[in-house]
Amino acid sequence: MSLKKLPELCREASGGKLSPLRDLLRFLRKEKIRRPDLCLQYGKQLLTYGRSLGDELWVIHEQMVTAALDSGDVPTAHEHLQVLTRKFPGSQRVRRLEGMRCEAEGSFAAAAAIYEEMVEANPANSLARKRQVAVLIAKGDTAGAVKALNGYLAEFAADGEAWLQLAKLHIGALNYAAAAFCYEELVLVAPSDHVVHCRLGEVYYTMGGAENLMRARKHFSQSVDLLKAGNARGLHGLCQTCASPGCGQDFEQETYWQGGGG
Amino acid sequence: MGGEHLVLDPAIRDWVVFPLMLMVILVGVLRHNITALLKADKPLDKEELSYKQTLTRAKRLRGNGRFICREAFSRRKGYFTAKEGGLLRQEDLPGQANPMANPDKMMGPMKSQMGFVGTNMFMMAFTSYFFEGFVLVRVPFPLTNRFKVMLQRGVQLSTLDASYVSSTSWYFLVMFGLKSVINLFLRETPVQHEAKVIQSQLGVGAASMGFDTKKVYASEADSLDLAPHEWLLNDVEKRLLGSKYPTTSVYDLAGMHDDSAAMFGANDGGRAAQKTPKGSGGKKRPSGKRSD
Repeated sequence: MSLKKLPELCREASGGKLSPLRDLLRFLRKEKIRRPDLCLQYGKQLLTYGRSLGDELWVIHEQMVTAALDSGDVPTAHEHLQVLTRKFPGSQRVRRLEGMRCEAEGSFAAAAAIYEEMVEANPANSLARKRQVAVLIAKGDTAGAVKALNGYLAEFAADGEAWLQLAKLHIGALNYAAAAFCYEELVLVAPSDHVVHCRLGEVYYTMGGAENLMRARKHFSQSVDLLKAGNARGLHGLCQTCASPGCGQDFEQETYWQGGGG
Repeated sequence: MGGEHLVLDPAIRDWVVFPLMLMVILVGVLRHNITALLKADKPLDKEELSYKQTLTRAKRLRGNGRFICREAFSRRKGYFTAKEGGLLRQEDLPGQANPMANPDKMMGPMKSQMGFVGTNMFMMAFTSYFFEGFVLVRVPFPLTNRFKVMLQRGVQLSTLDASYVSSTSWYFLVMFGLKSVINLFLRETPVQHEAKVIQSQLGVGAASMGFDTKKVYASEADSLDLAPHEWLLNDVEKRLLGSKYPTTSVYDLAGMHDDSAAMFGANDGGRAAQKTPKGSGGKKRPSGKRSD
């Protein structure tokens, strides 16, 4: 939905005026839109206004760091990071960016050391702990990442992002039952999100078996029901599920389950 | 004394009433900033944070549990509320933290009160020093004598009509009455808001007081135990297909597997409905017609 506003904001921002540029970058930040190209392009223009940005200047520097790292432009990231380090020495928020720079450079040990130190200083720092998981994933240590994520989720049980990541890791390891659990958790977090229902349906479909196919059909239907227009993935899943042998025969079972549900 | 009116000097309005209002607003802004300075960003208590997150998850299960299938629901329910080893029924949960045990936690709210108390004392002293005994305004309606305590603090005159307001009382009225005006000046900018969000993710911020884990968990476990589970997706196909939902049993369509697939799957523009074979058996199933 919100993505529709993006082209308009970009068009306005291309004039190079302060407030449209600021609005665009604010929008990217707020909606968590991953467009490092836009961020770098317009953020650079915006930073020429310097001091007139007030406190937002530093947030934009931070945004530039992550965008540059995202597009693999480590020197630019370093440049902005230095500005931030000079302004906020000893800040945990900047420290985390430094760790991310180390990750981008491929020096995972250094990054891990930074995060370790941050977590030790403040065990409630969920961002640092998530970065620790990210380091493990980047290193290709899926088992380690799953273990770390499980540890994280034992303490931060309500973190939907972490459940999503864990689901992806489990799917990567072909551990569908566990992935289904994670997606169920995400359904609980956002029951009106068609994407989550669609993914959960996919996992159930992949697991197979009459019961799982029935569940897959339900969740695909829910996904399509939530978003009818343009939900090709959900529709395709629904068709696939219904076309697969063993799916159509569960009218009887459905009634049975309905009876059990009352 | 009903007809006697005091004439209030217009200079009082220009030099006392308005300046006092302005001062109250400015002091309100100052107080806000002092509180922000005094507030220390201490790391949150990890244990408490974790308890709260688990509680959120349990509440979510109770609220949105009808979106997941029965087995998934009861598995989670067991995880939270099992008599033996259920997460919400653990034995060694901390009760309400004793505030005396942790002087840091005690100091936090006190510090934030400091700004309030300090500025308030200063303003009180200021008004009573400069405007002692002033009668500033008159409310345009009669009031009973009981209001004298509220409106005429600092002026002990039994003959003065109750609708006149003294300086100290005017200060209080303005201070409490203009709170929302002051808040307009202090409106949170987007950047400050973002900073707050990130702060909480970084695990720092003001720790809350008086979170009684044991009690909250016990009550949540009880409500979760009582929570019914009716799978909302039971009739999702019915909702999705609406009037196109087939009332014919699949068993009557034996050997027409492809058609039944189209019947359930393709919801694009009503083509599926035309494909549904109407004359095959036609045995109506009560479960298909249920409209719950």
